[in-house]
Amino acid sequence: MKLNLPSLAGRAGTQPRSRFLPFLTAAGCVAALLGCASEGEGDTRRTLLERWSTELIVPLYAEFDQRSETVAVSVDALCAGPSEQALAAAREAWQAAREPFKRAEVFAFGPYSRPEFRIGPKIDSWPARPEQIEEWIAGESPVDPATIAELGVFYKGLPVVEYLLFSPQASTPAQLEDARRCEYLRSTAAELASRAREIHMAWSPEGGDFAGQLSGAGRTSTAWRTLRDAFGEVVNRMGFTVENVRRDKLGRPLGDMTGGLAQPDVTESRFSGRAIRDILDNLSGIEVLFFGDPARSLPGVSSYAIERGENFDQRFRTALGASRTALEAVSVPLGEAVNTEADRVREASERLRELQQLIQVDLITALGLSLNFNDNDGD
Amino acid sequence: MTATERTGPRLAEGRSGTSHAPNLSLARCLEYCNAERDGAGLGAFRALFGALLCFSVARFWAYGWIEELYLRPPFHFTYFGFGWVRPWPPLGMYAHFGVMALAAACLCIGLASRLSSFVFFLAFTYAELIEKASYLNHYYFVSLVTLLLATMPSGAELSFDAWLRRRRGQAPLRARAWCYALIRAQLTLLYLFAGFAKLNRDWLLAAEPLGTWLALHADAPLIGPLLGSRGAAYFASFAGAAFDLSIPFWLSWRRSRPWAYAIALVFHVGVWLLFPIGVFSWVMMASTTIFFDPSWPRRWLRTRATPPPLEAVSPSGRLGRAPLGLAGAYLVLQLVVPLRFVLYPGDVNWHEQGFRFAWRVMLVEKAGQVEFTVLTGADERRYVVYPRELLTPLQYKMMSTQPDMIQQFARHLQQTFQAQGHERVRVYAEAWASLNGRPRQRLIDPGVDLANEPWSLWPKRWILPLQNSS
Repeated sequence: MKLNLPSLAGRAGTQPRSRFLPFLTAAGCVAALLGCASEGEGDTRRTLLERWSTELIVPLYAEFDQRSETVAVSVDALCAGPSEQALAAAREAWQAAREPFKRAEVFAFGPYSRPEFRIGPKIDSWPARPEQIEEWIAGESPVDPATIAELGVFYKGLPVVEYLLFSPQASTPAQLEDARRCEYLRSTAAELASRAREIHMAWSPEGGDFAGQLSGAGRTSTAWRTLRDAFGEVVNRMGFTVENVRRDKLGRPLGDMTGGLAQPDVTESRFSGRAIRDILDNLSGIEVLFFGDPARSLPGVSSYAIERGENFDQRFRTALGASRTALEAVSVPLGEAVNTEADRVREASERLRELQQLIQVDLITALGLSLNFNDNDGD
Repeated sequence: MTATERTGPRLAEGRSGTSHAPNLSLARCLEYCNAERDGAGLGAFRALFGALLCFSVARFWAYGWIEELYLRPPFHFTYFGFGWVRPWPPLGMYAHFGVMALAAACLCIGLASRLSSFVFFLAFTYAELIEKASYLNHYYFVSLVTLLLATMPSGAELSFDAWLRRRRGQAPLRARAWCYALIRAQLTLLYLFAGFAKLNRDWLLAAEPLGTWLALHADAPLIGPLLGSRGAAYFASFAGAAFDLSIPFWLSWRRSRPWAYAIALVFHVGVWLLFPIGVFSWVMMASTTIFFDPSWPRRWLRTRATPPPLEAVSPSGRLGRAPLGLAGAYLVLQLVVPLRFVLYPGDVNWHEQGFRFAWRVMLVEKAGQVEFTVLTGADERRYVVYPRELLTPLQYKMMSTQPDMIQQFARHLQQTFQAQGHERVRVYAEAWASLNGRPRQRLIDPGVDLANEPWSLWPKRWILPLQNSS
């Protein structure tokens, strides 16, 4: 089969110029569309992503980094001289470190979960497994930060430090006289501090600059192909966070997966009794992402929605307030409440459902941010 | 001498480029359908279509969608009556797509055109039937067109088949009028149904969902503010409906064809740039070339071989009464299937009964949230199932707004619990959704045990009606 392309000169003689006019016009329109439909410098979403990553996410992880270092220092002091005061100081340091990390949970993507990092699970895989921890302590394997770093996620991180500092069975000053137990605690706290530093630096422009990945979506980013994908991911994360709270932090302990049989052992922060505080910190993170921070003139999702003619402020505030009120009505630690105040816990879950639906249905539809998981989407 | 002149008047269409006046007599109908046409246009259509299919399969593979859509999910949403369609083991699934790619490549170059088209149709359709969550209108269109190509001599020109026949001294194949007519009819139905589906309150009076989607580009340079305006949304809505409702006719009329195709190019490229619709636009741009004069490729590619004398042409490809009846039945089916939504009360964009296979393109922006409560045994042990952790993101996204998929998953949960030894398993859905910017509302009656509702195509009484319907 041989095909000859006609010469341009030959065609010019047989094709009137006007026949090409429609196609030249079309080509011009297409070129104009190509030039204009890009997601450019002045895009509000890009500005928001830039500011959120550098003024919200990086500072949160910097705070967590610094506070984790304080945990390591206070644990060193505890092991150097076990006492009630030293134990209280270490516990306080742990509680303080927990706060920015839980507020940052709405940003649990990127270095937190991407396969090349997966730092999040090394910091916060819960619930702790006391049997495994005690078995390791009772064993003869070396106990040092390097060894701990190689162990599975349930041998390290905030929940393990929590168990060793708060569990009545594991954390009395007398028990911490046990050199191997305290060395395990010291190593875990040191490993935690190094992971906190790692996630901070992974986001920081001075380190791995994942913040740049977020704000460079659709241009230089290898993590997101389009600006819409990146922006959609961040906004959708608010809904996912609330969903995770309802499913994992409230639902599982309530017995949603076990036919109504309460499971207090799968409560988050069960040794410190901080579970409800953890959730409230999660909500604080969502609140700042949505409303921004007026003190720093930091805009939130709300400002973008308003710019698009969609004002969700009042509804969001109401749903968030109702959730907080319901959570604060739980008067005992969650592990206990799932047995003694189950109705209140369920009420909190119901209020959070309102918030979840507001985000995942109303807000996402209004902003056209349904996640496209691949461009096998469309019609 | 132009290509049309060279191939002779019998091979070209009339001056208007449109069909001959219809004649109701069967003989005249057969005579018209079997009239010979230059196969170059059909060959170019086949080659372009095959190239796009080849690209699509390669892209599907390269992006990891075989794994994501077929291998990873432990559960698949199959189509009613096709529950037996299951993915192969991993190696088999990759081989399946390998066969598909090979068939697409053969179709593109015109090697064993009919067979490769039929193989592609079978392999592609099987893959599509595995997972309802991945349904796309243009996938359905691909299935239909490859089926049609398998029935016609699309390799008559611009193909290895033609070259081989010449080398072997065999009589060349010739395209006939019915080949063009059938594909044009298919495309016309697609556009018209897509256009009619846009004649509703949301599209015309609220400019939704285009208003929401275009506003996403409000920050684009130069045209951003324009795209973000309501005026642009209304203009795009009306223009889109007018385009769909009229483009087949403008493309059929020879005098308007160049401008119509230019507009189609701008329209489809614009849609491709603004919305995440994959290769759909390119499929349509390639497909609409079938409306051109059948000799159009000869203006761009001049073959050395002169068209064969007519007496040497193979008689194959002629329609008899029975094939003509089949073609007619096919078109009637294509007319009826998209209209089946009228049998279901309520807004089809909301309940989605009769939504698929109906060319209802780009009509909805929906988001949903769904959870299931499972009650088992006489003591009503209560389980809450959060389906996001059991489904892929795409499956969850699709299921959360599509009632039949919600019921399908409820039935799956029932089977799963029964397999674990539970008795009297009842499944209820807490499902909320929003359509085209409306406030969210319940999609499913939360008091209905979905697992024990009939699994059928009859209207589903447990879908709650849309408030403020379009």
